[in-house]
Amino acid sequence: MTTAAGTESGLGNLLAQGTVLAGRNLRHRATAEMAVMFVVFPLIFVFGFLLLFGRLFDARGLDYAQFLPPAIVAQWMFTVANTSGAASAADRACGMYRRCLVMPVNRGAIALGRVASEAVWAFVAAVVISATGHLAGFRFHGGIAATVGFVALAVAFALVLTAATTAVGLSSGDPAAVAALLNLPYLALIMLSTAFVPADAFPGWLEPVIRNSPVSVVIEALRSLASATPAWTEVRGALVWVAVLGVVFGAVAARALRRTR
Amino acid sequence: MSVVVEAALLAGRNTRRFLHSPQLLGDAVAFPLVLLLLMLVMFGEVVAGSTAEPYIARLAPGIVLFSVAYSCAGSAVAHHVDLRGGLQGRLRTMPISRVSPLLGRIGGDLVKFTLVTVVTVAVGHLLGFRFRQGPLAVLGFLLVALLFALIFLWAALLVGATVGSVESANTAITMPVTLLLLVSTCLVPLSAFPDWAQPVIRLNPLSGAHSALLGLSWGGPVLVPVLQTLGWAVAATVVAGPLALRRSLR
Repeated sequence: MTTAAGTESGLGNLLAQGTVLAGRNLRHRATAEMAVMFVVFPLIFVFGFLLLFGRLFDARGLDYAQFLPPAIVAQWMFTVANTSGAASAADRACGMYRRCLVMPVNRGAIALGRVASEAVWAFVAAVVISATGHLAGFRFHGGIAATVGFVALAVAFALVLTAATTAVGLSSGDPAAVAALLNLPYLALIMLSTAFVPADAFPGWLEPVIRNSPVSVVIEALRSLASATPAWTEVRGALVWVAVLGVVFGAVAARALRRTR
Repeated sequence: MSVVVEAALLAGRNTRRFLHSPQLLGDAVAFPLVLLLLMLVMFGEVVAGSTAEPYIARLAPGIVLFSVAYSCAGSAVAHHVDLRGGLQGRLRTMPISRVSPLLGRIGGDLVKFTLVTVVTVAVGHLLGFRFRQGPLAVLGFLLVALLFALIFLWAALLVGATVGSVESANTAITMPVTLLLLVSTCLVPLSAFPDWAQPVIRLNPLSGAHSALLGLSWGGPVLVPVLQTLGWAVAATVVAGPLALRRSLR
């Protein structure tokens, strides 16, 4: 019994096993398709939207090349979380999750492995989009600290979303259904935000909803961090949202991790 | 049996499978409607100033075309599953034409796209979309939408027979189609694009079909855009058709 406990409990085991599982999660998704995704996604959403709206918004006095990339970063964070939800469902469906449960593996390591691998994807995605944006004219004007804050906020946002999708994925256990189910809230949340269009371009009655959506708040904070004058009030609003949602979704995910067999 | 009868039988099978699946039905019909509403509130005010027609007159045909092209991902997936799941193997042991399974897939999906077009146009009507060119143009609208569908259906059959998994069949259609939507005249008029990009935007099959649908509903040139769509459909049939058939038989 002591040997089993010796391989399960403790911070050292948590970290070591979490690292092993994170590596497995990363390798699992490091496919040719993922590489294609990393090229195609920025191409479609940065250059596609810029072509589409660049001229219309320039006429309104909005520098769309500076406006757009933070939104595409946030959009990709949704994609990271949705893919992760489907992966959790697949883990349950193929028996990987159950196998971890019957082995002397630290329970927390399963969660940590997921968090760490998604943090890596989110970080890479934020860097790739920022670099693509740079080609289109996007710049970090706020200095190194603000730039680090930009990436950190993006990754934190992805992890909060991942907590929610992990709960959905583990409870369902059907990867295809989870992917389809998560697609609709993702589309609605990203489109009904200031991601592609500023709030004042929405119909008046909808504007308050758009402005106060957590997605808008996070995107505005990212924009602020990339601007010449990062505003603490905007960043604080985003941090509050990320913290609150982190606690709520974290609790839901922890419950799903405890209950799923 | 003749090829037509065989294809019709298989098209019937595919249509019934679709109609009996609430999830497939919901995806096909609900997706365009959600998109239509979201894009109307998102882009309506930004684009409205730069065009003569109200935004819904431009957006509704655009959403019809996008949903049709996007649903071809479902066709690619279904074809892939038929090939790998054994249906194709079973059909090949029967004395039927080798083309029939492909034609059956296309026929069944054209029925599905008719449904998508009718529902999207009906909801568009509630939001202010109108046919102003007479009853014959309404029929023309549907026929152009289906002709346009043919371009992506052949591509979908080729993708379904080529790729290794259901997921890649899906993304191999949805990703390029999303890009094509953004660089087309479905969401904003041609004049909103940078001058250097305009010739490319014009060539996009979505732009050609969109001009035709706009001409047949709100008003505008019809003949040239219809011919452009016809050209794309013929090209897709001639190029992707034989390739899709050969790969499906392997």
